[in-house]
Amino acid sequence: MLELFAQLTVNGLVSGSLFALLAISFGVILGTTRTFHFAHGIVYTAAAYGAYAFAEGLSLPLWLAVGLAVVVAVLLGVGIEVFVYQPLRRLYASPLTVLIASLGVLIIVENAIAIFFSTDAKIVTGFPSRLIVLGEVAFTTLHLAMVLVSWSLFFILLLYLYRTKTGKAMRGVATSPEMAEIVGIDTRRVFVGAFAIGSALAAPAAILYTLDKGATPDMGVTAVLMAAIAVIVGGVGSLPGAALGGMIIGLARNWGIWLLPSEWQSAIAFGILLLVILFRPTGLFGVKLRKAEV
Amino acid sequence: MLLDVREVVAGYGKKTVLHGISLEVGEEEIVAMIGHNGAGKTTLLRTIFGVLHPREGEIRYCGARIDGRRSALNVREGIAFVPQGHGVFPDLSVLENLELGAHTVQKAEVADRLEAVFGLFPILRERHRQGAGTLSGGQQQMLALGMALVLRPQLLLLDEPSLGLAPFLVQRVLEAVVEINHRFKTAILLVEQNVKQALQIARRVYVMKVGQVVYTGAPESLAQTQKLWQLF
Amino acid sequence: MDYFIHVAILIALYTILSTSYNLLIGYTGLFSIAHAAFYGIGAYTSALLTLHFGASFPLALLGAIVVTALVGGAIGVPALRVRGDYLVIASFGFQMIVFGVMLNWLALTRGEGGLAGIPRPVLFGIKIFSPAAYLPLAVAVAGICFLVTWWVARSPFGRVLRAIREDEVAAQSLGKDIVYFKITVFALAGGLAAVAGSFYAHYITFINPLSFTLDESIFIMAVVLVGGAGNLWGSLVGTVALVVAPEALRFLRIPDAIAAPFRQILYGLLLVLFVRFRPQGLIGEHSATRGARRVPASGDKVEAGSSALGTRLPHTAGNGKPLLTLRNVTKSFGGIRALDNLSLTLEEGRITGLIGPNGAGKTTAFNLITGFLEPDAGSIVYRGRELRGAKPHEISRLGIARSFQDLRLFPRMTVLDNVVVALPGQRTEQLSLVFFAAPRVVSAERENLRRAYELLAFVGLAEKAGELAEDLSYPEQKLLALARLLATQANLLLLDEPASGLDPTSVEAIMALIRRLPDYGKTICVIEHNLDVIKGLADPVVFLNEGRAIASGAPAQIMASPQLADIYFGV
Repeated sequence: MLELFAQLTVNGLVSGSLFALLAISFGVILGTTRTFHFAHGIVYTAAAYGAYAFAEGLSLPLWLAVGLAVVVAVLLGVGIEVFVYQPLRRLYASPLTVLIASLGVLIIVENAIAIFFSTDAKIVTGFPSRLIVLGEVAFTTLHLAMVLVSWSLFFILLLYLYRTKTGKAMRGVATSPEMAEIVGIDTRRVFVGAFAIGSALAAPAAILYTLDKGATPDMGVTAVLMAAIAVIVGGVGSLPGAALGGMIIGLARNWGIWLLPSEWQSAIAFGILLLVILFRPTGLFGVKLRKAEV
Repeated sequence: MLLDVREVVAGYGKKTVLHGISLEVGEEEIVAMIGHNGAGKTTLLRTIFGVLHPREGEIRYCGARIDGRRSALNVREGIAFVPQGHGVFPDLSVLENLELGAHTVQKAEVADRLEAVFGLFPILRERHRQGAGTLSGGQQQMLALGMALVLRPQLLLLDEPSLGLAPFLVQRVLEAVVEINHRFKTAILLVEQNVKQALQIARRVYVMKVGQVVYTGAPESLAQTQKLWQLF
Repeated sequence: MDYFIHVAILIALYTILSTSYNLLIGYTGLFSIAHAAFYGIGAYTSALLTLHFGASFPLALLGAIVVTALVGGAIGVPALRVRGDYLVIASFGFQMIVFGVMLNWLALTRGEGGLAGIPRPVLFGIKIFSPAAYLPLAVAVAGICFLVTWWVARSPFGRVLRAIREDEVAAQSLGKDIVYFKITVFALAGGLAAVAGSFYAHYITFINPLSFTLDESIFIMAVVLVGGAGNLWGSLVGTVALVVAPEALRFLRIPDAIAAPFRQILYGLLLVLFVRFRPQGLIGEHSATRGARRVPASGDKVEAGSSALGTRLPHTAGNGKPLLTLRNVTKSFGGIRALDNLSLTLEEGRITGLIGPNGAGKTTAFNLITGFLEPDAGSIVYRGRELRGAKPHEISRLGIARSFQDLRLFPRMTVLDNVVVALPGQRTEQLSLVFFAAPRVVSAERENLRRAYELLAFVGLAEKAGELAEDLSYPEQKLLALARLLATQANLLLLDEPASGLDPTSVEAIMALIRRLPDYGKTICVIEHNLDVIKGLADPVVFLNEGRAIASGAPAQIMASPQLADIYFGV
């Protein structure tokens, strides 16, 4: 029994790390620009299919394919900000309007990918995956890579935000866009930067997942939902919170297998979301939401 | 004339707040703008600074028109704005706040300017790692002033710096304002609700009511409170 | 021929789905992406009732409606706790959970294999087995559902839904119980979707989870947005457009494999384009009627002010009886004491002015009186009744109303509707009465419109009755806010800076109106910083500072005191 629990915990830590990476990629964008970027899911998917196309279609070495896939993701993410969200913001569109547009973009690109690549799972090869056995638990080098990459990127992101001038400006915009205007920060450029970083972080998450389980056109919808839930659970505006939210989801999904059949894995995350919404809407570390302003 | 505002009409959406307002601020002058709440004082400062654009009228700075352009340009040309209610980044530390205040400043100059701010407000040096949101009201106000100071502005727009502060702190803050004016030769347009204090440090005063100037003159001329009750 | 009948039946079913979804998203502004889940629950419930319990079709239909309505109402509860964009995620989650249940609860739903052999309906002994026979039934049912939805949307209940969409806080302050409306509309939308679900199940005779996916929810959303949110005819147009257009695509000979994603791209494109270039949809909410709605027939002379305001009293200087008393009220936020043992009395029939420096606690006092905040200590007594603990909409019904500094009108509702929705005691806002007392709804409406017109005439906005509130000039919007306030029939009116943002002429105009109100038995409390207004309107004036009342008296008295001047203008 204990061995099963240990194995599930290891699995949970691994998938939790990927969810954490996903969560901070979404959280950077949401926290800085206050945009509910549903289409982030498609940036994720595009990175996966980009890697596939470059590695398998063009037979490029894996490291090169990954690099190019990141570029694709960044271009797509920034493109959506510049061509979809910016014009809407200029028209003072409501947040829900932006959300619908984001959803629309997600649907368009997802189905375009489905048409172009068809819907069967695409596998990307080239990662030397070996099994490692430690006592009662087993995992692969790929899983190890997931954990290492996710937390390294998290660390690098924190370094950027806390140690560089532009990173601090981004935190400033996230905290108070009005004050950012007042000190002369170019908030438009910071927004673009947030989208670039968020997209760049989503790409490795997508590619690592693809190396493990393959890419399907609908992978992005689940991914962005999980990311959103992790961010909400952790509290909007807190990156450590988002990462923690991701870990919680990863662990809960795997421990849940103990109690529920594996088909219910998705429902677990939504169950957590429901609990958070009902009992602690600001999340674990969230910024206090103001009461209805009277 | 450093700042020349002429017949400015401005507002938010359908609401017109400034109904044709004119004023001037000379170099190194401290000019006070007083008036009842809702008269449009904050709107005036925001329009001069550039986060709000006038619908009619002109705003000239050093002779050139600045109305209608992005505020970031004004920041680079020496206009600093300290908004109402502690204009700081609450989630960032004191030092980070000052660094962001110096966002548009040349890298080589930043260290010196930070030193100058710490010299004026030693408490900020003490607490430079502390989160700005956890400072007391008075300290936040000093931080906000410090953030504007690092720009070495020629014109400083201050929106009710004494708001929410205990009387002795009000004194302290306004002393700092005078010091800024003397030491750095900064012209100051001060919007204040603490009328008496503002009158003490200003060379000239304007009174605003319902989006227009209804009185201007020397501070002494408003010594009688009867006059004030009429003008508000 | 069968093909066209099939398309027609689909149009009928999707009309039910889109109009019910429109109620949710277009009328109430509740952004859920889970309508397909309701659709599916209705379908499965109906199918299971006939398959496993041998229920007759009408019974199965009823069962489906009840079950789905209950689920819908239950969803309303978490929906109350989250802001708009987070509601999307929650509804997304609900949609996925329902889909998961359909897919994985094999014992109940047979999972992906689906339920087959669902019996075709038998109504009054008539076997409705062929599509041709099904069509009139489907159209009739769709027609009934459309009628129901239309009637609800047009009713006072529907009016409150729109008010909630425009400004929830303002709706609450007018006495509307937001909880009731949100839960009820969710249940209603769910129930109607279930009708479509049931009919779908018994038409195709086979259902599986793949008919009720997120894609389906998105299709329904596209229909409503393209057709026009907030306009039911728009949903009909949208349904026809989006059901027929993809069928027309068949003639383009797109290979089957990519037909589905191709259609999805179309829907996605429609969403993006419409939201960007034509957010009101094909038929906007007010397109046909903008500016022309319900203007009275010329010839109707409207008596300004008559009964709508209450009877004109003989002019007295106010009888001086205390109407509202605050005693030692204290309120802190974080470490800051906003109100510190505040005691003050508002006398009946008088206009009391509230002045004081910034942060003195004036607006906080209003918030406490109207129930938006709870005092930490002290009592607030109105006509002998303690107000502590009462909710905003309860306090509103007791006869206290307030205006907001930032107006909080209902921008995309007409001037007239802004006022009508504020009229109290509208029992026809109860959904049950909307259905079961239809004639009463009609006669009550006529009366309501009349009173609203009188109020608009009182403030001078009668000619603008048909315009949208957002199209008025700012001074006109302030007058509308006053009319809406008067419509609540409240006896105690709390006015928060009624003259702010106005030019001198408009200030005079609004002061003139406020001055007349005590003649109608109103008691007024005004917060103002423009002392001209205070001098011209108020007697007595209460001077607040640092959360307590430090002086009270006639304006001339207050303004003669040097100590008060020091406090007001700072030492």
